[in-house]
Amino acid sequence: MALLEVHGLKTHFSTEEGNVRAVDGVSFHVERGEVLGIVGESGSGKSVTSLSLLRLIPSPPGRIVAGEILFESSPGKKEDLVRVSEARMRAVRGDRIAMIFQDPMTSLNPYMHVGEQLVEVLELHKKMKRPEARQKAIEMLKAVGIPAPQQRIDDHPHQLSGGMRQRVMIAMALLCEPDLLIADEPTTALDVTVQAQILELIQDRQKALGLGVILITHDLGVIAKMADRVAVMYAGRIVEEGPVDVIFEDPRHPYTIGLKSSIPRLDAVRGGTLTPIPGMPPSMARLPPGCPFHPRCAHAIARCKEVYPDEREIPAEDGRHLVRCHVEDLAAGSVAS
Amino acid sequence: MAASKPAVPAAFTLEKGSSLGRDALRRLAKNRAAVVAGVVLSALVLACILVPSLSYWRYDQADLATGPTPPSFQHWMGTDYFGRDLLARVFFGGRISFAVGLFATLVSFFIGITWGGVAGYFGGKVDAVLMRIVDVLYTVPFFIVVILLMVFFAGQEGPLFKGFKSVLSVFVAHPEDPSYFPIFQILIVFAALGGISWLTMARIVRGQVISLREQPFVEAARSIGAGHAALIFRHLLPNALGPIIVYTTLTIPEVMMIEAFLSFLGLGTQEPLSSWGLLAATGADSMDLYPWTLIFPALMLAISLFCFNFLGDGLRDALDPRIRKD
Amino acid sequence: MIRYAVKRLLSILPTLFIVATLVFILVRLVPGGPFDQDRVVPFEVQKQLNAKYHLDDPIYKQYGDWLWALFTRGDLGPTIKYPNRTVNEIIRLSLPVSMQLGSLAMLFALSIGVPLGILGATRQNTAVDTAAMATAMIGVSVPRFVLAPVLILTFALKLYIFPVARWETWRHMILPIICAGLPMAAYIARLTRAGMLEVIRSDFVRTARAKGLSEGRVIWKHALRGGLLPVVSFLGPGFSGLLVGSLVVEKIFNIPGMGRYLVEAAQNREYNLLVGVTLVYAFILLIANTIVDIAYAFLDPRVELR
Repeated sequence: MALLEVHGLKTHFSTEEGNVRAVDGVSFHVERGEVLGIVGESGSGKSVTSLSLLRLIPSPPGRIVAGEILFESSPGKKEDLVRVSEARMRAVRGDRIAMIFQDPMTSLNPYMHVGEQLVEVLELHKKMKRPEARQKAIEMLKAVGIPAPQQRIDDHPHQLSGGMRQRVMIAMALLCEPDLLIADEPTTALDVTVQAQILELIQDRQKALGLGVILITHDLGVIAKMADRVAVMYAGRIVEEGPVDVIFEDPRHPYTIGLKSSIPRLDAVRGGTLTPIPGMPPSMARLPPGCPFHPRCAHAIARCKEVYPDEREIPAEDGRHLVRCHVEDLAAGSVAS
Repeated sequence: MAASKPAVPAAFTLEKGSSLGRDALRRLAKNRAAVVAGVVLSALVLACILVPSLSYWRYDQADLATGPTPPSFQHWMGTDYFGRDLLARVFFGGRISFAVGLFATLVSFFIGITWGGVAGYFGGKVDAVLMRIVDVLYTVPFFIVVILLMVFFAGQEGPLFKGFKSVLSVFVAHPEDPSYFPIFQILIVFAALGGISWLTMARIVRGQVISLREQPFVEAARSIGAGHAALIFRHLLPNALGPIIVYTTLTIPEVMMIEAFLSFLGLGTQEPLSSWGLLAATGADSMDLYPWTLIFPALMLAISLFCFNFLGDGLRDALDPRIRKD
Repeated sequence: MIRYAVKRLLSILPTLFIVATLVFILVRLVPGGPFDQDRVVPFEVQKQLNAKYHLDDPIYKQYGDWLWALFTRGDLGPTIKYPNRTVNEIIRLSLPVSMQLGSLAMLFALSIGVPLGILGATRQNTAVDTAAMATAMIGVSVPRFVLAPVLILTFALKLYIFPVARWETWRHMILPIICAGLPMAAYIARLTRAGMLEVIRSDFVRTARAKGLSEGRVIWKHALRGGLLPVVSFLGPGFSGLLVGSLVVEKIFNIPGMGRYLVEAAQNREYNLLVGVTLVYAFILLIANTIVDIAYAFLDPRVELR
């Protein structure tokens, strides 16, 4: 049974410009010990999806309007996180499901030293006393690769480098040994050299603890390195989903194909042109009818403008490959690149 | 790999961009409190301009026989100790109060903008010196200086008034006429109040200019030959306008409040150019006997300050793209 | 930290010196002495009085004497219109009163303003928030010399709860404290609300929620420290504003504080008293600002102490 199953999640925001359907019918699942990558442009709804999983959507403008989020919090017991009480949700957050965010400088409290922020998780969920919690925190800092943890634990976030801050965030997330880790663009705000280190750290901890990980990013390179399976999001929906090899070798959705082709290649012809996806992502308050990608799609047919495509399965070897597109015989290589 | 462009899809629309100013106005219009405040304020200003001219009673028309009377059909706000119609006096006082607010703020506006603009633009030593002066001045207890100024130099025997009279003698036949003194006093009030409040404006402007200085449009302007003055006044400052407008709108009520305070101490405007502050202060003296002489001017002052503050808040929220109310 | 504090305190002295000199010059520049106010005094008598108070010495001698007396004995000189009382005496009697009024008013303002602001921020845009902020807005828009008579009229004269004026028992203190502190409370409420709103939206508060903390703990432990910083830095100039406001309060409630003497000294051309009071005010303000700076550096670990 999957660790996390999401069915038909819809999160909408009421704004000045109208009803923004940031997440509009998203379904996926994550198994224990596997890494699911969610990839998409800014505004595709990937961050909102992750925040919805923990019900951290700010509730005056936003709300989860439909769907279920089934989480296996203990063997055999499934809970629908959309419907559980707020008290239960608070018990899950930080303890069974943990989240790390994009910018560690702003995501850590600048007025408290690092130790305080770590210890409070243990005091809250594991009811540990302060000395014991502090000891555990120091061990965890060591495990994520922070040198001299006994001194560092009393530092304030601004005294640490960007990479170290992100390590602290990871330590904070893993303190209670959660079942699921949600990583929302964990390396986007970091230097390239540090990015690799952090990704390796996540991979290492994931294997050591058998975590399920949802890794959200816009960077296909990160996906290639880390993910077991990939879900591609566009305009609030998942347009393609499958094992990472399959998605990279045989993408079937025009958007995925476009994403792949827009990456500059080392072996490209010198003086050749880059091929971006033409146009811009739609305003989420005024989505076009039918398939939201059709205005930018070179293969759009009449049906694409009217009806939102259903899920279609494409035969693949190691896992299910699903795509939402009307155009049936699109295969890699048929698009000029 | 063929270097051909992918076909540009047919149904391809661009989102219409909107300027910052228009966005801000739209947001402001949605803020009901601010809009109501703006309307009330405009109505008040209009009333202050029109009522004293149109009213049946003149604001300085005394009637000692009648003396102070509560609001009645003849005198809608009653009369004061000397039998003068309070309604006319209150709306005339409004002219004075708004004038003080406006002109003192203008003084502070111009000094602050130039000071802060120059400091922010040139940076380095110039900035350090200018801002150090601001810092030192900030710590001086200004209200004391203003009190000293008003008491000593703005008196009728003071040197400033003598200077004023000599300037006046060029234009007028009888500069010794004592009725010129209140005019002089009010000019001093403008200058003094403007002189206190420019400090924060300078700081704000400097901060804005510094953050705008590095932007590409400045480099572009410089590359077509714009000189320092042009860069400061035509390019940088207009783009820094947002917080400047907000702060100006919030300075007006502050200045009006200080003026009311000065009037209370007898150091503000003088009869017959009595502001709301002076009217309220005189009314406060005889509050238990003739409460309406206090209530009406105080109410007007409070309402204006209230509206200015709401408007300023609304402007601040509208111009700050981060704060979302919903 | 201690070194920073001491350094900051010492830096007050030069500023103080400058202010003192400025005031001295200003006051002495004024035409007319203290004796040509009320009655016409015969020339001979005037000459003798001037000699007695050293008013006929050259100005730099007066300055030198005064400065010397100040730094060696802390002596601010005699007064002219208050026979047998020196400036020091007057200040000694009136300063504690003003400080009492000021600090109690400040405490009052904080204890009302901060909770009100937090309430408004946590229940943003609800009826509670609008009510709280409207009240705060009114508090900021009504001048103290209007508030004071209203308070006196309602509570003292009509309802007989509190005495009308003076400063003797704790009952006397309530109305003046409210009058002095209420506008400041209103301003603090608005400031707190704005600061808290800013912090509540920040990423680290989101992280705190993601860790499973209850909303109460999120606000109290995480949001408050950052959200109150603007209030702390306001306290410096705020205290200054409070002293200004207390002039009005002292006058109306007939409280024998320093503010009242300031106004009288200005109107009576009491040179020494004026300078003395101004110096004390400047000193208090500088100390208040320094304390606030130190407190701010203490509370915000990102501020570098230099």
